[in-house]
Amino acid sequence: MESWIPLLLVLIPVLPLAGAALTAVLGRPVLAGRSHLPVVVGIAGSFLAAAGLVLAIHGSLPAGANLPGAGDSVNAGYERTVDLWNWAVIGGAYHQPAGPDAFVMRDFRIDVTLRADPLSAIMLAMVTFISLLVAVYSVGYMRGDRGYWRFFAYIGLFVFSMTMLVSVSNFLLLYVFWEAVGLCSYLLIGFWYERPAAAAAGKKAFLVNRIGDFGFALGVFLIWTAFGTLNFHDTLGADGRIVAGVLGEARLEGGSIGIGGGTATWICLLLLLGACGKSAQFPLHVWLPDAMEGPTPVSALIHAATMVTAGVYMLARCAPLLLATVDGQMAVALIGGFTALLGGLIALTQTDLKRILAYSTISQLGYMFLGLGTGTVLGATAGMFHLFTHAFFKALLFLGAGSVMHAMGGVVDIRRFGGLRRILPVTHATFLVGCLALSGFPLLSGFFSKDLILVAVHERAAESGSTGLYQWLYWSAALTALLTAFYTFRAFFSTFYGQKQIPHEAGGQAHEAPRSMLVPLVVLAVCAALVGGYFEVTHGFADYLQQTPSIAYLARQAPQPAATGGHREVMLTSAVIALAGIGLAAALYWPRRSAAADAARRAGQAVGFYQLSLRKFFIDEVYQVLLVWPGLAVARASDWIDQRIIDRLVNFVGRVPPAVGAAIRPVQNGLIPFYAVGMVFGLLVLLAAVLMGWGWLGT
Amino acid sequence: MSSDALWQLGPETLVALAAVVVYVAGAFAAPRAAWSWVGLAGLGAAALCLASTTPQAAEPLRIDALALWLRWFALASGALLILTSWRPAADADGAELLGSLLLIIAGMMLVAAAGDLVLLFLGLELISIPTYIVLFVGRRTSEGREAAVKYFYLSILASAILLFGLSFLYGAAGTTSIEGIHQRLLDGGGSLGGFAGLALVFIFAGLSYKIAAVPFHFYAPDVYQGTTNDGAALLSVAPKAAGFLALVRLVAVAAEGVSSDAWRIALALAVLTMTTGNLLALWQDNLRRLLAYSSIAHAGYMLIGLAVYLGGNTLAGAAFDGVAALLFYLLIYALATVGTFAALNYLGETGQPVDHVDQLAGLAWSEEPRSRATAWLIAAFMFSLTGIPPLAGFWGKLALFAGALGVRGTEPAMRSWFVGLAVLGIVNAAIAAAYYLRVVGAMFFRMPMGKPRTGGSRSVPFAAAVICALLVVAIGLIPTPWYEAADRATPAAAAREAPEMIADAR
Amino acid sequence: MHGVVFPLVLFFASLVGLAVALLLLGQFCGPRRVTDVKRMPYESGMDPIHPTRRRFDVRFSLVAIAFLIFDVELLFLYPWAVVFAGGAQPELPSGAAAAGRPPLVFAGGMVFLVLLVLGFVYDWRKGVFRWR
Repeated sequence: MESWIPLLLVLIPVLPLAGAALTAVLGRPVLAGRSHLPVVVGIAGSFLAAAGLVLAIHGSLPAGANLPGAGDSVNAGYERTVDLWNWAVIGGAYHQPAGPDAFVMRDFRIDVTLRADPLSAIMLAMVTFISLLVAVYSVGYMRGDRGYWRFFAYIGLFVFSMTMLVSVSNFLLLYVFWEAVGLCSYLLIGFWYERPAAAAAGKKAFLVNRIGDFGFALGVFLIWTAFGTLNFHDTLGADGRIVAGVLGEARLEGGSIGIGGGTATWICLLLLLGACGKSAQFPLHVWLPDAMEGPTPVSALIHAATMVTAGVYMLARCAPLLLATVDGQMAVALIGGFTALLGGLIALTQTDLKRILAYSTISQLGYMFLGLGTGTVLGATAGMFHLFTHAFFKALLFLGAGSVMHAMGGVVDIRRFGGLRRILPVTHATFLVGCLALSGFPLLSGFFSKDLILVAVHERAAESGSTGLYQWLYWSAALTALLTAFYTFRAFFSTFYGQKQIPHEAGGQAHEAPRSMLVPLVVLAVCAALVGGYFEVTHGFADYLQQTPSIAYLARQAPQPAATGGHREVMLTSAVIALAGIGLAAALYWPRRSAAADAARRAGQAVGFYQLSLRKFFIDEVYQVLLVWPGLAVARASDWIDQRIIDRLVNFVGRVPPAVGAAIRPVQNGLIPFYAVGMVFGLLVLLAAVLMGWGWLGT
Repeated sequence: MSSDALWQLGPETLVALAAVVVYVAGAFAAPRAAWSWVGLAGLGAAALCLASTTPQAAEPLRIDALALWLRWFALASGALLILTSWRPAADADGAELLGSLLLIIAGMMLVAAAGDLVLLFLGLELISIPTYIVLFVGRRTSEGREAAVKYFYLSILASAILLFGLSFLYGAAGTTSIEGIHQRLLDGGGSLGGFAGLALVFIFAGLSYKIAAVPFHFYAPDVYQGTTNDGAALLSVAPKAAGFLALVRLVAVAAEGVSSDAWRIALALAVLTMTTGNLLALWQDNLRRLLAYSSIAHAGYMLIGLAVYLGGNTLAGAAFDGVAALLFYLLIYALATVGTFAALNYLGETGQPVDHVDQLAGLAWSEEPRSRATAWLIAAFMFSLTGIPPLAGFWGKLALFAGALGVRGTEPAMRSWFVGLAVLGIVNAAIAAAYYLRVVGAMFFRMPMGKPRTGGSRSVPFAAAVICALLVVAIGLIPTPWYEAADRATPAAAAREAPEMIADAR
Repeated sequence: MHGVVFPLVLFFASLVGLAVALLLLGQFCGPRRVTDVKRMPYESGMDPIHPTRRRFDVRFSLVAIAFLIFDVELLFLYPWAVVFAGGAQPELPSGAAAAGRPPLVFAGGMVFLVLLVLGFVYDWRKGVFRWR
């Protein structure tokens, strides 16, 4: 089985790419309404390959090595790398003094290497599975759109980029595909580029992400300076010695990754900045709600389930780097906890169904960051587990929202429709499952994963009581769970219960979606309901994931105490919280917009909270005040200088090449004798230089 | 010439034979496509012959790795040029054009294999003289004639200058064998250095015409503009490749004893050439004229490689050899340039070639799929010529500039000269982006002018463009083997393999 | 390096000197008798009072080129014949190597002649020799 791994690893990205290429070439002239075929088939094949990969790795794992307390030292995790080709070698690029008269010389070497380890395999399986369902859903959703073939070509390209992102084994290539998924996201947000809002949202996403990418790029530079390599895995140097990769066995088995102090903190903070951009964490979260201008399947796939989790994936992959610095861990946990709370608070009062879900995504991603920020193996596992379950139920919710929009003629404002449960029975049922899972309703998948994060934070808080930060984060996370349950069911009840209300855009023929849209909903609902419980019972996810070298390293560095009674306590708390939130929402919004809800809103308005939440804590405005206004002021102040001096200078610099070109242009006058004289003149100048020495030419 | 040498020249002979067949048979019948097949068959036979012949020393030839590299390059680029100039219809002058093209390819191969001044010059003339015919016959307009006449007169002047330089070498050494001259100059010590210095200047000047280096470039813009796309493609590859090879061969020999002049000349020409080429290209609206300046600028970049080679004495562990970078860049440049001309050929109609940047406006949104694809192909070539990372051009520039940064130098301030050269190269690459991106911008961001262009039946040039684009992408993704192939062909590699020849290979 | 400067300067000086001297000689020593005929742009040949773009028959050039080719052929055959006859082989090592030589030399000459014939055929097909 293991021998299949290289083939599978290659097939997973290549199939969607081939589908995308086929659609791009043949889509408009030949395939037209069938443009989805190559892409759907490609992604399906890719999913099968990913499933095979998960099994192949599972079959290759050392058995039972990871049981707590059972010889932790022997578990170094499992990784397998497949070198496709060597992209670039620059000899002797890394040149660092290592003592008197000694240098470390190393090649700058970028291998296009794919890696198979449990972390990648899980991500690959999840990404391809969700992508497949979303692609099938889109067949119905996008039918009749003018850019049908374009849409599927982009989707195929995205799946290729995303699968490459999680399977490459090098920071530079990670960066390349990080940008590639960003490009796909940009293209798909602005898919309906005729709409100004969509174009503006695409631009905003692009610009905000640049800030994060800038940090990421600096982080990569710093890693290069600190480690002298950008590969995750170990490679063989030109001199036959092993070059220890940043996250390779040679380094991790040594027990220390070889950096610490300021460098480690800076690397972590810079990588965190990159992750914040892609995963929409405070303060770079502002692009994600606007990104909902894209087609809804895109929101489900890219802006909920897959691309936005790239930041979480990256931090999980770099967990050993994170472990080297407590400050870095706390920064990650703080950002995550704060964003989770903020997203939940903002989602309370939003009226746009997709935006509620978008803020919910921001909030849940914050949870994942929080889990990773604990710096424990439990936290990392919990974060990844939540990533995994979240992908199912959030994709489900978005696709459900898409189905609602489909029926409502594109309206997403929850105040303008209601009582839809009879019209959209399947959507209603599946949406309910998604809402329950998101709220953390006991025994659904969100319950287990969110609970695990709370446990991890709780344990970390118990362990390091002195700082107190994690204790605060724990309470904040619990509050967020309450908010989550509340806003989720606020949206649910407003949409499906209460008085039946259908906007005129629906054209009086609101109806359930076609089958190609319903099947993915049902499949996702089943998954959202069951995956969490399945893995909780079998403990399969954690065991599997902890065979990843990075995470196994965490386990070795900070051996876990055996599960304490705290677990059950936390579980009970979170169950109560979820039920309370749901109950509160039911009391206020079922029946629709009750007097109690009005009272609550008035109460909220009285303390100013309602406005605060509705206006998203004025963060866009804060940006306006903090960044844009001072920017404008400074801009105005410098305008004068700019106009008078700098602008002219820049224009001057920009005009110099053409001007010099224009000045020497007359030389090219088309006359043969003149050309001949020019040649002879050049010859004479060279001759003079050689005969008389170069001094008079300034050399 | 011994019979060994004749056998070694088998590939050249086969190509020339194909040329003769095409010429004579073409006087009896005029199906252009059939002659193209004959030409391709000739190249194929030559390739087989080249692959099956064991290289061996045979005066007056010099069959080393460098020669082999350029001979393969000549065959491959020749095949691409034949595809680029493919015409389906009968064409009165088709046979002449094709026969001349084959002779030019044979000339390139002969230059590669020559180990003797006379043979080398013969090879260069075998490139020049058929070029006159290509330029004249290819486009029978007043512009075409003007181009042919300009090229003819100035080429004669350049050949005379080159011959004058060669005569100094002969005068100093008393033999026409390059190896013999080298030995003689080594033995003679400084006493012959003066003549070698004179020879150096004249050789540089004469060959600078072939590679279109400033100030010997004047013909290029007028001639490219006046000729056809096929002719321009030919001019941008064949004389350049042969000229650079001759420079590598001759200058290192002539520079023995006057090495401080050699790298200075190369450096000065590189600076002048890339800067002038890029600055003047900014003003061009005619595509072929623009590409002419582009080819001048790229000659400048390649001269950086030559300067690094002549400067010698690189830092320990430096990654890039000057000649290897030069050859690698030559390959990448040739692919992108020939590909562009092939794409333009596809778009044009007989007698109505695509001349102007404006004619490409809106091409990316054309109704016809293949025209849309052509826009993407041209964009790939432009990006590669600019040096945008995932494409081949980036690696080419990287190799050249990093090579310049790796020069330690034998004289004071030499290293700073080379660092300055690299910096200037990078500035030039930035300037060049302006005009390459203008072409891309026209195709993607402007409204079509007039009726949309369709290529019609010219699918073979289209295929040539696709091949070039695939190679540009492939080299971009997997640059290492291509660079290593070039690296194995360098004199430095030859010296590594045969230590006793270190002095020879410098 | 500087050793060659003097010869070179001498060389160029004599070059320029010769050119200038010849011109001056003609200027000073030649008798100058101006007649109407001499004042015409072309003393011999055509009357230049006509549109400048008058065409003349391209066969002048074609015949000239064909003549050149056969002229050169004649020139090449002399040294070839001498070498073939074994009369002069200054650079060739005598003995063994020379034994394999005559057939090769003969073949070389024949190839040359065949190529010329092919050129002739080409000229003929292209109508170079077609008068009217």
